[in-house]
Amino acid sequence: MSILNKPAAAATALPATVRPSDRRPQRWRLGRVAGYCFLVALALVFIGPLVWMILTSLKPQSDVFAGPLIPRHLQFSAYSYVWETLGIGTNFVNSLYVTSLTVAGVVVVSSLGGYAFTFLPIPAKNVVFAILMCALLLPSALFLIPAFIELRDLGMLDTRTGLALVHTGAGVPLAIYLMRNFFGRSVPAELRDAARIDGANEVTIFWRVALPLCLPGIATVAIFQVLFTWNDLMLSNGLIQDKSLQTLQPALYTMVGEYATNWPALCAALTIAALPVVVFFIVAQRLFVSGLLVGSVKG
Amino acid sequence: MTPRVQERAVLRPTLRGRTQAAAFVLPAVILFGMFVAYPLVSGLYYSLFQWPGYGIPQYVGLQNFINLATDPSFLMALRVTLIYTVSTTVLQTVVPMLIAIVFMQKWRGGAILRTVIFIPSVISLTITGLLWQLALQSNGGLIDTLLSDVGMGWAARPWLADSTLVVPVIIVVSLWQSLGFYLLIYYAGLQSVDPQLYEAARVDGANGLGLMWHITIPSLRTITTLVVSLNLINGLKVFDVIYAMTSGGPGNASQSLGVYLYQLAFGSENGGSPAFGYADAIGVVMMFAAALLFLAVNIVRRERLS
Repeated sequence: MSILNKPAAAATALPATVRPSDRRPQRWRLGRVAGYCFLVALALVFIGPLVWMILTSLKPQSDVFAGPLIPRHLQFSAYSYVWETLGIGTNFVNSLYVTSLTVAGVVVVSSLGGYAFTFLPIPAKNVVFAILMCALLLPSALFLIPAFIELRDLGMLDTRTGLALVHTGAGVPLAIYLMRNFFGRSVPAELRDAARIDGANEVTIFWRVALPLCLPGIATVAIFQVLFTWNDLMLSNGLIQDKSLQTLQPALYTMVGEYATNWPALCAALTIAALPVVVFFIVAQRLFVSGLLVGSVKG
Repeated sequence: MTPRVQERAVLRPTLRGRTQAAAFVLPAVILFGMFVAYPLVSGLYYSLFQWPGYGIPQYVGLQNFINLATDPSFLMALRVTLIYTVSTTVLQTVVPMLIAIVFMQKWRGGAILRTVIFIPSVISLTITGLLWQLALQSNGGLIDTLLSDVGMGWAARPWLADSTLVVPVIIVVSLWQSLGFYLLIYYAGLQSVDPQLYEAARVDGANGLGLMWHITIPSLRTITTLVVSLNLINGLKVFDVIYAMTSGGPGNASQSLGVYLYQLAFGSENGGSPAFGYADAIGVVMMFAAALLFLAVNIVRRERLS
C-alpha cells in the first residue's frame, strides 16, 4: 500500500518532454491535448459497450433492431420480466449463496493455513507449499471431469454446496499464498514471543494477536474470491445442471441461446449480473490494488 | 528474518507443536486434497481409459493420446489456443504497459479514466462474451450500427460468422476485457521506479523516448514477467470468453482446447455421448503445456537476470 501513497515522489521522475517546461510551453500544451484526447477516447471504447448494454435493456423491443442507439423513452419492464418470469432472481440468489459459502470457507481455511505456513513447524512444509503453488498453474478444465464424478459419487452433484466446496478447494492455493505474505509482513515474531511469555497459547495468539493485524489480508483474499466465484462459468456450468439451482453465469449463457432476439431482456439480465461486481469493485478499489501488489511488486 | 531463525534454534518443534501446526493446515489440506488434488490425479488416471462417464471404464493405455495426434478437431483447437495465447500475451503485455506510461503524466482526471478502463476487468468473461456476441451482430449490433452511422457501412462484416475473422475478433474482445487489469498492475509498478534513475539519465542527455527505453521498461522487468506469466496461463486455459461468444464456432474455427474438452465431456461433440477419458487426455496435454511454458518463462527470466 505504501507504494500507492507516494505520488509526489514519482511525479518528480517524469520524462522532461511531458513536464511543464519554460522553454517549450507551446509544444507541451499540444502534446497534452493530444494525450488527453487519446485517454478520453480510450475510456469511451471501454465504457461504450456497457452503456449500450444498459440503454438496450431500457428500450422497447420494437426499437432494438430499427430505432436509434439512444432510446426515445426508457422502460424498465425488461428487468422485472427477467427477474421474475425468467427466474434470474433465483439464479442471483444461488450465486449469492455459492459465493458467500465459498468466500467464508476460503477465508477461514486460508487464515488458519496461512498462519501455520508462516509461523508453525508443519511437517513437510516446503513440499506441501510447493504442491499448492503448482496447483495455481493448472487449468480448472483438468479437474472438472473428475470433480464431476467425485461429486456424483458423494451424492453432491447438482447441489450448490457441492459447487461451493469445489470452488473452496480451488481457491485455497492463491488464498494461502496471499495470507502467508500478509502474516509474514504484518506480524512481527517478537509480538508472538511476547504473547507467549504472557501465557497465551497458539490459538489465542492466532485469534487475538495475528488475525486482527491481517484484516487487510483477509479483505484481499475475500475480494479475489468473490470475483472468481461470482464470475466462474466452467465449474458452475458443469457441476450443476438443474436450472433452478444454477448460478448466474451459466443461466445467462442458456438464456442467450433461448431468447436470442429479446435483446432488452438479455441486456437486463447481463446488467443485473454485472452490476454487483462493478459496485463492489468501486467500493473496494483501494484494497484490490494493494492486494494485487502483495502478489506482484513486493512478493 | 533473523528473529525467526533464532526462534527456530531456541524452541525446537515438539511433537505437540507439530500436531498443533498440522491441525491449523488440516482444513485447507483436506479441502484442497478432496476437491483439487484427488480430481487432478484421477484425471491423469482416467486419461488412460475409454469411458463415457458411466459403466466400467475400459483401459486403453496411451490410445487416447495417439488418437489426439491425428484428430483434426484437436489439432484445430491446439492451433486456436496457440494463436490466442501468443497474440493475447503480446498485446496484453505491450499495450497496457504503454498506456500506463501515458497515465504516469498524472493529468487531472486520470484516476477516473483508469477506473473506467478497469470496469470491464471485473465483469465476467461470460458477460463480456455474451455482450459482444450481441454487439457484433449485423442486425442491430452496436459495431455495425456505429459504422453505418459514420458512413462506413461498407466495413461491416459478419464478425463472428466468418471463420477467418472470428479468432482475431475474440482476441480484441479479450484485450478490451483485461486491459484495465494489467494497466493497474503496470501503473502500480511504475510508482516504484526510483526517480533518481531518471535524473541520472537526463544528466547523461537522454530524451523522453530514451528514458522510456532505457529506464522505464527495464525497471518494469518483474511486473512484466508477472504479466506475461498470467497471460500465458490464462491464454492456455481460455474457455469462458470463447464459449460465451461463439461456443467454438463457426464450425470449430474458434474452438480452443478448453472449449473442445468441455464439449467432449458435456456438449455435443462425439455425437452427444460423453467421452470423459478422451477429454481428460486433452486436460493432461494442457497441463504439460502449462508446465513447459512456466519452465520457459523461468529460464528466460533467469538468463536475463544473470
